[in-house]
Amino acid sequence: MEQVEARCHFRGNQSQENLSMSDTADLAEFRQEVSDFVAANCPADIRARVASYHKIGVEDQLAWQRILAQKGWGASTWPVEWGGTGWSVRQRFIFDEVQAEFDCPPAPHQGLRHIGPVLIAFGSPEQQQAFLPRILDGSDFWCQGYSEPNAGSDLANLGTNAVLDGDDYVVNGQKIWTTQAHESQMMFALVRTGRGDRKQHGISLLLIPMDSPGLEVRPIISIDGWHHLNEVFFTDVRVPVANRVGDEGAAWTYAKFLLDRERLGPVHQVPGGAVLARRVRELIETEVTGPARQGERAALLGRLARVDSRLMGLRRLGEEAIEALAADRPVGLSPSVIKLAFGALFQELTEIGAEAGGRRQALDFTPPEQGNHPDEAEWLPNFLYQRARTIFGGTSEVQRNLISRRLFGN
Amino acid sequence: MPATVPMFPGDIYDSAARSAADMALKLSRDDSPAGCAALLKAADDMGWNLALLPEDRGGLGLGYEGLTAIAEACGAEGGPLALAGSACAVPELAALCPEPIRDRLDAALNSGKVMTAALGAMVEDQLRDNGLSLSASGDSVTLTGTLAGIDGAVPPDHLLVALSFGDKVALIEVTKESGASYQVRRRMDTRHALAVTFATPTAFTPLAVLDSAAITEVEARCALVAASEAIGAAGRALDMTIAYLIEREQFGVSLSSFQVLRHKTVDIFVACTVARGTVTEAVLALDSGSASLRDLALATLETRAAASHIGKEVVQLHGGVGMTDVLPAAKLARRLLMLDYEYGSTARTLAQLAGYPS
Repeated sequence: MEQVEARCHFRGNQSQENLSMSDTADLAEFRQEVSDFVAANCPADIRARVASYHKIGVEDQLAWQRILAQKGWGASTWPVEWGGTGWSVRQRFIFDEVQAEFDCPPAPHQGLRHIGPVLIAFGSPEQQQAFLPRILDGSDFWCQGYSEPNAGSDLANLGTNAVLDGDDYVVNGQKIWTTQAHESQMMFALVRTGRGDRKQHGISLLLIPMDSPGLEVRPIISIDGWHHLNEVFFTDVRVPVANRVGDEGAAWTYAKFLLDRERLGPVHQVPGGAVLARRVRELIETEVTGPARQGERAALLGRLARVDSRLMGLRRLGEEAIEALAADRPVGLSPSVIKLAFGALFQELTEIGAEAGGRRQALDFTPPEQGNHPDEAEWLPNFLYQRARTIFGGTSEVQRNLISRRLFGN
Repeated sequence: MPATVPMFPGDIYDSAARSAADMALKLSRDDSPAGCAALLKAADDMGWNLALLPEDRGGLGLGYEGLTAIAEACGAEGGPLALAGSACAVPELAALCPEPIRDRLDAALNSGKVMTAALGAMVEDQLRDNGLSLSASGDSVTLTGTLAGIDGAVPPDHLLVALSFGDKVALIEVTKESGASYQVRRRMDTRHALAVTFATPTAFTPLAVLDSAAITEVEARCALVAASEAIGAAGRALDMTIAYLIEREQFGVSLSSFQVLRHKTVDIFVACTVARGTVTEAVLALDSGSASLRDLALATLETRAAASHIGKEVVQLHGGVGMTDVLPAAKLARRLLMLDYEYGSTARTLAQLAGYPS
């Protein structure tokens, strides 16, 4: 399942950043430049949808991506030769942070942050030429074909198979929890092309057009009433061998590469949390009012204070991780801690939000896609959707397993 | 190798860690007030009480970063000394006094006098609980009764007491000549604490009359130092728990092979790491002059919650042996559980946060 990108607000501490005064001034100037551009160019209607937790469609994401691409800011993490910005780690986070503050839609990150970097590192020149420009300029939206009914946390157990037949692979099987598959032009999928000593062997990475004959997308309506998720069925779907990334059977290596590149991924979530916390506070202050609700208000603000305090700690951990990465030092366990702690924190935040502002929606819950309460922030669907936060991208239980291996040495 | 990293790694932390380990060893042999007095002297010789005092006031000017690095190192050894009173409250309260008085107090701190402080909010508690009575008349304040819960192990040469009345606070100085008597008591975590008794009505001329907000801020800063100690204690308690779970076997296998125990340990690690982040963030903000009272309150709120959680879980994960009072981990657990009784409490911090602008 896709993880909605949250963006962050990091309060820098100059003495900790090893930044010279001129660097600091440069960054302030950079922040201002980004802020000015975003304020002037991110469409107001899209920002309003983001701010009220209404569904952000692929078209919203791609529209903003096209604007950024025209500015030359379409791929902040890519190398310059492929259209990247050449920004420092710190600049990239400032860019993310400003976007969070201005309620910009999430980047189409399956293309930009997942398959794009893999293609740059392992793709053939033809693949790079064919796909990277279309990711950058917002022509193609990608979905991720990883999870299967019997391969969730145990991803290497996947069974969708691809058999070589001439110049094509013939793919049969099923993917599930495929976010926005119904709105995507392309899928990158892990498929089994063989068996090895370990189940991680024999897995290949294919690039599959979503309009391929034999490929069927069926909707899954999620707990929040929205249609984000899908099942994808493959029945004798022919995929050219030219669409296999890298070597046959070596995709696990590429997945690990991606994991390594994304090790700071959880850090991106922290500032989005700060924006949400601010919004929840505003909600309590405007919705839970009057003498009769004084106790209720105090209880909600008390819970929010606990969230604020944890956010403060996570912000520091994120800052330390960025500093480590910028100095080419090991990042350590901070991103894992952030992922684990932030999942629970985000859920608590949206739960407080739902308690303070979701009562009408709870008592009159029709699927939001049918225009349930178009003029209200969707606190309740957001609360429900955020149950996924401790599941996607590695469940909290898997995270605990990973951290415990480091703590116990096995 | 420790599971957690210090808030401020470096020479100050390393040096303090070595000294604190030595102190803890000595304390294990002699934890009488006389033994503690020797440790206080050693700490003073190393300049710990001068860490926060700015250089232009004769101190080391290490800021909160330096002081909390020392506090964290001490906390890992069970907190042999109470640093918040002597090294934080005293210089901070002195800074609130008129310059001649401030200079005199700074000089006393510099000359190795034993100094500590009791803050207004604590006094308010004791006014109810221990019969301390206070009356203000003209320019003087008169005290009768006992004031307990003061950081320290030996009667101080100078005790600074913040006394609340109305929305004002009178700061008084109790010296050896004040006619007060001291009793040495033990806290839950085995550290000493002092109680001072004024057997007969004793009049003091305040050093300064302050707004209560000023004392609230000093208390919040002291709470941050105490929280730093708790971060050290939590990290060491976690290391001890991991070692115990690896070593101890039940059902023929190491306890560390049970997923539920591993996950509980991870939750301790996460709580400790996040709390460490909040305190670090607040300390950096304090030293850069950008800390708000809300920042300090948020940092201590998180650390109080983490310390309570970790203290209880350390006992649970050690099983029956966690219930003994001789186990170092159990002592650290009590140290952690003590945090919510030092320089405020969770409830009071939440109440304060409700009044602070976000």
